[in-house]
Amino acid sequence: MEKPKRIALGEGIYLNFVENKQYKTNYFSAFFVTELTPRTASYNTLLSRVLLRGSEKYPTQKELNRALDLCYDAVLNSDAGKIGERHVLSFTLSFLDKEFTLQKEDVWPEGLGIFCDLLFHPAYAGGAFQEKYVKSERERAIDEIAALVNHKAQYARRRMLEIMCENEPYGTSSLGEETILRRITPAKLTAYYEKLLRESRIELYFVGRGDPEKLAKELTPLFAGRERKVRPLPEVTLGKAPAEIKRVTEEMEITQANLVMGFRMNTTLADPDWRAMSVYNAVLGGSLTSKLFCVVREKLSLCYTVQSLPDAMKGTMQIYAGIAPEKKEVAEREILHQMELIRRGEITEEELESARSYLIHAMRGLPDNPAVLAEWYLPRILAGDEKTPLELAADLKRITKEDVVRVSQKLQPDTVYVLTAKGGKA
Amino acid sequence: MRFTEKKSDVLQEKYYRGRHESGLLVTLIPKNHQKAFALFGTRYGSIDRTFKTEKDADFVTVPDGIAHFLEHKLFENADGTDTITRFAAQGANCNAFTSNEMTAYLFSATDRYYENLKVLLDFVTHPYFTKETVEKELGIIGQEIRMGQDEPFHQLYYGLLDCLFVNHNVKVDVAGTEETISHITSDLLYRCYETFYHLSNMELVLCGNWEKKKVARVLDEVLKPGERIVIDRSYPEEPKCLAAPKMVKSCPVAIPLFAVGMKEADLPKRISSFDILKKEAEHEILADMLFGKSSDFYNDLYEKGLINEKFSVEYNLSRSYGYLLLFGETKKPEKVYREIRNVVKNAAEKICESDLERSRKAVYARCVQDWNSTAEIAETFMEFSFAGTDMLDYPKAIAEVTLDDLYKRIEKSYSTRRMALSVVEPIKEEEHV
Repeated sequence: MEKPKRIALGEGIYLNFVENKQYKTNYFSAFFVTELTPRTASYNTLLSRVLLRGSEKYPTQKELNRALDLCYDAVLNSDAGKIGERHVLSFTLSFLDKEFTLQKEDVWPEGLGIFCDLLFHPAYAGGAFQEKYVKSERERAIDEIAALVNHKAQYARRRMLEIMCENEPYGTSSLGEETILRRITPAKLTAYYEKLLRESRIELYFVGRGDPEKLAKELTPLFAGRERKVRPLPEVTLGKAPAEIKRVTEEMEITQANLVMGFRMNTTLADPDWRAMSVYNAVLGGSLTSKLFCVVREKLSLCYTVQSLPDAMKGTMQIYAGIAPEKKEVAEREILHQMELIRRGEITEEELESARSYLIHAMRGLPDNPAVLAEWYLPRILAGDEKTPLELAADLKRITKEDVVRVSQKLQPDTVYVLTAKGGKA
Repeated sequence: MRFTEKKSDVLQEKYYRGRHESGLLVTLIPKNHQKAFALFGTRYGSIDRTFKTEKDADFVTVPDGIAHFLEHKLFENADGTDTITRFAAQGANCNAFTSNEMTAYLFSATDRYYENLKVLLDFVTHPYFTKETVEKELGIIGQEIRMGQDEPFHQLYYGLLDCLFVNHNVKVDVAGTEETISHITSDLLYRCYETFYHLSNMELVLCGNWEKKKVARVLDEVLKPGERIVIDRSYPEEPKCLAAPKMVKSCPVAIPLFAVGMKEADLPKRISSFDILKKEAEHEILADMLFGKSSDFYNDLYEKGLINEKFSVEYNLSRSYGYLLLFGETKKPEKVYREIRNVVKNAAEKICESDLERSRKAVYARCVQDWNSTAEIAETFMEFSFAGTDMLDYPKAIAEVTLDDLYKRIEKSYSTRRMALSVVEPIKEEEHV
């Protein structure tokens, strides 16, 4: 696999082109990268929703969706979310390549037209977003925040991060905050949107069949044709573990306890230690041959799900286990014990090899899926690491047991959060 | 072994298919992806509760959740080795899943395909169940069941199936309950295994850069010719009517979730392979026209703030059951339900030729996209095959649907009398006291 072609289209605007002929669908996306604050998270969330409501050419969703149907069900989406301590508004389009449409029609020109129309020519009224769209999407955004409680494991993991990083940008909810959303008016949202187009870094990805030079020529006037003054993003903060572990337990009408332990890895993507840290994670709880899976699940039958989940952009790691409420102390003790074993160097050759192979297999398979590949590249580009998955796989092969043991010493416990059944017993 | 080729010009896809002398049906779907994928499945799922073979004197009725339990236990080997580790040592990821009508074991690999294929065929054909290993699994699956219980969507979905079906086993949770799985023994696992895990009841689907000759060599080496066993599956008779019109449960959710179902009444005992596809295409196109993101229904309710973008519609069809499924979030489930019933009641007046062409394009595009990833291709292919149909023929079925077919489909399958509503609502505050 070749390196993605990276072409500057304007100030702080880049096109990243990756050829992919495996899929029948091509993928195009625009990522608007902003700093992470409760304000940007709230505004990006609302903006991602309002932009999808209509454009000058397609003023209603029905007209928009019908136009997309005619482009062979091209899927246009907008989303807002956290990538480490960045908040990113994304716009994506996936569409059938002309090789596979019934009359070999090329839907890209029309698809790109709809994409840019929505993004750059929203359905304004009197020079601002329409009141009815802002109002109704604000309600939906607030409902979405409330509905986070529906999925218990994800909810518990979010709560843990909020508690662990309460004084850092990373503690911000990716959907923003209800109080801020309530105060957003059409005028304020319009001002924010225009500022976003002017000041945010823009990363474009095209993964599929196409010609990068031709594409760059086509996209430059669309994306770089306006005044730009890009604002540099603040440094990512690493955060510090407290002297004493923070412990919070909350109860709900559920049958299972959701245990989430938060750690500081003191290592991010930009750090040379990151490769060793990713192998450490696979040995500990990132794969089906990991210590946590083999011992906490298979040997002790304590749970169905147990895993470690690092965020390389921020340098935090979470360990999650879904357990019987009365088993939470046993599970926590065992998880810490497995971490201690790694620190002591108790890793078998087989464990290490399986962990490396697992990661290498994942890297090799990445080019198969365009959307996943683009989302894999984005944080790396932001962190200044431009290696391809295959180059990374070669690096991982060289990670030794000593490397893993060394980085294991860098981890510090921070927070333990438990979401459990009422009364703590099922 | 001999393979025969079949091609689709529209999809620009082909496959090779043949029966190995062991009795196993094998399909190779060539793709140039990095990841090669293998899927080894049996026609056995949670709906198979009561059965016998010609060798057994009597039918046996097994505890709910046993097919899924068996899937977990098959990963253990008599020599104490662990299957996951065997794959991992060769750089492959393995997994398995159980559904209503199938159980399948799989791996993906970026190299050492044939060594991994050997492991797959070997571990699935060598069961090892003991009292101790069965007991050990109770804790793990017990937590898997509780995870499902705490998932509001799971409650919503099974709540709806409980309304739609009087007797059909499709309404039973694939994982069973903590109570039912406590009755599972190693003897029962062997009985299920001996009944359903013989090669003539199974299929192997390989997708990726596989070579026919090398595959055949591995099959020759690992698989022993087996006898053809006739399975007698006893399913309860399912009436056309509903079990209940409505079900409401309370869970820790913020906004009520709703699921609406419409039970299929048109389930002929004899139906050709292509007619099943045609019926599926008719249902899929109709659902898109009436309830899809471009429909009047979706856009009107969205504008009124009654639904959000999570609203979705799908049609689930098997030989013995079928249902239209709509779900979403709303503060007014009853009102949304009334609107859905109105669409169903007046479905014939709501469809027209131009909408058909638009929906046909969309449904066709979705069917092409099923050919994107090797995992998705193999899994979808096997599902079609177990239903007695061919995934490669689906575009043709979509192309053939006419407006007249849709009128007939509405006549046969759409009725508000066979519709039910399931709701999961927030726990009311007074219940806490």
